[in-house]
Amino acid sequence: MIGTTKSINLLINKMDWQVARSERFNQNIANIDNPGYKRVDIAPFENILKNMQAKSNGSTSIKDISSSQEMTREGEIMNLTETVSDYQSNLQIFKKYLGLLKTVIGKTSS
Amino acid sequence: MINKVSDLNKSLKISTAGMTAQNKRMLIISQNMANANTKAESPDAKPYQRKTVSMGSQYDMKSGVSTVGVKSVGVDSAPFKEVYSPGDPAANEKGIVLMPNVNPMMEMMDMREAGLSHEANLRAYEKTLRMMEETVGILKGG
Repeated sequence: MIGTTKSINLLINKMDWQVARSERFNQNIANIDNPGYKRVDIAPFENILKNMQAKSNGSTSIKDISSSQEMTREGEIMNLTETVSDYQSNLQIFKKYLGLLKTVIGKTSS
Repeated sequence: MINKVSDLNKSLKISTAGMTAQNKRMLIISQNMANANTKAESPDAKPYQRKTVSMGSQYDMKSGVSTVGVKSVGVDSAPFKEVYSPGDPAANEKGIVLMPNVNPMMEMMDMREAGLSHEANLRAYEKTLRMMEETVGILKGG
C-alpha cells in the first residue's frame, strides 16, 4: 500500500491546490468592479510537484502570482467551473480509495 | 479535509462580500434614478446631485481574507442640466431651472452591470457551495 499512499498524498495536494485556486477566482469575481484591483492566480501545480519531489513529503506551498491578464466575468466563471469539476473528479477518486481501504481493513479484521 | 472546508468557507465569504457590494451599488443607482427629476426648491438651491459609488478592497480581520466593499459614496460634479421654464417657482431671473445631472440611460446601463456582477458572484457562490457539500459528503457516505 506504500505506493498508493504516495499517490493519494499527491491527490490530496492537488485538491488543496484546487481549493486555493477556486478561492482566488472567487476573489477575482468579487472584485470585478474594483478599479484598482489586479487579477490574482496561483503558481501552477508543476511547481508544487517539483517541491514534493525535492522534499519527498512536502505539503502544498501555495504561491500567489498576480497576472496582468485582463479579467472578465465570463472568463473567471469558466476558470472556476473548470477548477470545480476537476476537484469533483479528484474527490471521486479519493472516495474510491477510501472504499479500497475499507475493503482491506474489513478482510484483515475478520 | 477540514482545512479544505474552512478554505471554502473563506471563498463563500468573499463571494458574499461581492454580492453585498453590488447590492449597495444597486441601491445608489436606484436613488439616482428615483431623483432624476428632483429639481431645486428655490432658485438659489441646488437640485439633486448624482451620487457615485467607488469600490475598494477591505481586509476582514476576523477571518483574514481580503474582501471587497463600497469604499465611499461620492457626488458627481458634472454640471446640472438647464431647462428653460419661466413659469416654474424654481426658475431664476432668466427663466432657467436647474435639473439633476442624472442620465437615466447611463443609470440603466450601470444597473445592468451591477446585476451581471451580482449574478456572477452568485454563480461562484453556488459552485463553491457544491464543492463544500461534496467534501462534507464523503464523511457521511464513505
